[in-house]
Amino acid sequence: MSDTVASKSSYLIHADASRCAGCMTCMLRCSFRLDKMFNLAASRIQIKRLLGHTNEFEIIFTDECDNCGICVRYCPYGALTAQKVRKEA
Amino acid sequence: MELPGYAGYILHIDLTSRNVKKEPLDTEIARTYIGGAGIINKLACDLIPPNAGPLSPENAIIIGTGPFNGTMIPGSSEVMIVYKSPLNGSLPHSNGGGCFSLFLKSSGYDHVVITGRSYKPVYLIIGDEDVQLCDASDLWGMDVFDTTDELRRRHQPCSVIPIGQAGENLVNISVTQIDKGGTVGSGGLCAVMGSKNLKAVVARQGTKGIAVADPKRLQKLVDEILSRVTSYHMRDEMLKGGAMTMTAGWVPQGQLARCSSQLVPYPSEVAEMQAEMYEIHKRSRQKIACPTCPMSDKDRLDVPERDVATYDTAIFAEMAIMTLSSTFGHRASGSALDRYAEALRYSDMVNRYGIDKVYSFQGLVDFVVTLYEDGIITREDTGGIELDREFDTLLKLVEMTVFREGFGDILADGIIGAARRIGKGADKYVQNVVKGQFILFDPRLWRLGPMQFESMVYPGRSLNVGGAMGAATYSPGWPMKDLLKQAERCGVPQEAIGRIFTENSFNVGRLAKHGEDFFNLFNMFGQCHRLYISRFYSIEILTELYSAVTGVESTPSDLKMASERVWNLWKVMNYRAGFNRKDDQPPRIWFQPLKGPDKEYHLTDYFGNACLTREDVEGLLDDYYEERGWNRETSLPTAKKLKELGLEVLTSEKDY
Repeated sequence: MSDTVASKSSYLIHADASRCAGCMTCMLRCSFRLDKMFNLAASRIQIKRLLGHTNEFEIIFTDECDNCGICVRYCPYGALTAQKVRKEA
Repeated sequence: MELPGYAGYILHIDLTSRNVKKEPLDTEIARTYIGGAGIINKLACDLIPPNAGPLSPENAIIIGTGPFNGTMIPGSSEVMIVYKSPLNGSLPHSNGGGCFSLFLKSSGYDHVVITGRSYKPVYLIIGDEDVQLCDASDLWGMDVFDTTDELRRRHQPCSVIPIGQAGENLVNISVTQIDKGGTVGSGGLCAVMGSKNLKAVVARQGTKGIAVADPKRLQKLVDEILSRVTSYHMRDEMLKGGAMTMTAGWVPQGQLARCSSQLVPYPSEVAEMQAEMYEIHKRSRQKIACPTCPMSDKDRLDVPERDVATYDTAIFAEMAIMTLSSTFGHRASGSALDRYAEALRYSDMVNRYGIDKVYSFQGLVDFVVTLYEDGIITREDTGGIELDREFDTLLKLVEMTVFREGFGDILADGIIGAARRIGKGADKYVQNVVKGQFILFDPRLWRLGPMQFESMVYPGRSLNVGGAMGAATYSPGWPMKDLLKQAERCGVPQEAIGRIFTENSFNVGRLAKHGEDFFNLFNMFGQCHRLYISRFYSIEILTELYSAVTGVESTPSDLKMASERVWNLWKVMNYRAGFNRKDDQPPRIWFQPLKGPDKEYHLTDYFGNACLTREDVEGLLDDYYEERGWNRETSLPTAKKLKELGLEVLTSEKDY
């Protein structure tokens, strides 16, 4: 899976799954922001490994994602980027 | 009371009765042994009977995580496993990456203890409260990668510790990969799983969270580490080349062959070929990272022009260029691309079947080929097969070993067992072997640094823990001021500095003890100790992280003592399994000159200034035992040392 876009509030988050190495740092960091604990199930970004002999991932944002951008700041591989968008009045 | 940083439970599985028991983790044990290598030692000491046969139902497989696993501390993905080894009867530690530790803790468990023997092939699946033994009849016969793919298809998202055909056939040199990337189990873990009819252990991604004592403090520490990681000057290149980037400069003077008695030279164009191969590797590579790892050293490799696609954890250029190994002496030929593809084909084969190419198989092949070349064994012994150093022979021997076919049945027992079964004086050809495994870095080429020294004394295996003193051990001859900085980073106490260091040198036996204590902490926390991630940690940083995660305020010396406690317990366990000073001996070959194409190489000190004799190394062993507080004659920890570490209970047994 290649590009996934989540756009809701202050950031437009662009995900390039071809750069994802599967480290799940984004998931751990997201849940840590929300609950001050590390919980993969609570993360609003989910990294799913695609089946088969290859090493590819799908990046999914849940409906609860508020586009805070913290996953972007912590992705070590540049798979996530954010673009600031102007909020409508 | 629950301790932050821990999931809180130990899972006990009896494969014979199919009984599953969930036991709360004793917080006092967690404080005393911390986790990972520490708690699995404690469990093994309590649960594996000293006389248990490695392939008997009484042997246990104990899988453990530490308090850093499941958090976002960079590089915190290692899982630790202990069991009684069928290769040599020791209790070795194995650690491996992948998602297993993260997913196990997300289901609420810190440790898993597997005992007994299933009456039919099964796999264990753990997902929150749902813990099941599932029928694995249809998986039996599958290789490591295909088993992983199939179990992912059934249980995604999950992490898989499978066995290949080598484990099923009780091959003593079997090994596996967690999630097709984290090598684990050198010493025959998979044969133990095979003996239990256990095809795989699967941890599903669970729904539990891991709390930490001081989130703000932890966040600050992690941010500081990540800031140093991202500004590390080698990182950008390493993300392109993985482990090969860091090992590109390692090509030593040639490759060992003929039972470590000869150095086969590289071709004259080695530098150009190495550069070309590195470029091929980079364009073939897709990076794989274990959870929380910002360095992604593992590889998915595709070479479409040679129809090769596989996974590996460390393809080193010098292996692929000419020999595929540090000990086999096979001369590859053709272009850089041909050689690279050949190396990957071999690697794919052994990784899929699940045999240990690094510490066992390649040395074994060199051993039997040398015996054949010298007329000790003939076609009659090999079942009609001519043994040579050709690639096809290597592949044939892989097949025969994995399936224990004919002569391969002998190789499957490992080097000590093979020499015994061959007889005819073959044991004289067993060289560069400690505790039944081959030494990875011959100190005649690499000098006797802390890593090489530790290969002798490491309990249960010929391994070293994280290079014992970090990067300084991979490239000998560091300046003294840098070594002293390294010692400070590893927490060598001031009172020991005067004993270890002189103005221009150091005592490698005494220093090795402190390197072990430092890097063993990584194994207790669940932290990766590969040098390109462990380099960002010092004893102070580990101490701060431990306090932030668990709330147990500690000092560096507290942690060093905890590590020493764990190491001493482990030493006693292996002593009771029959391992003492005689097993820590330097191999005979170290004291014979290594014949290279243009010169001879001798065992020297770390700086290359002085040749070392057997008496010198025996003296360094004395110093090591003294630094550890162990009996020089037997290598057993003294009663005084055990009391100091709170392990006096061990002194009530017959050895004291």
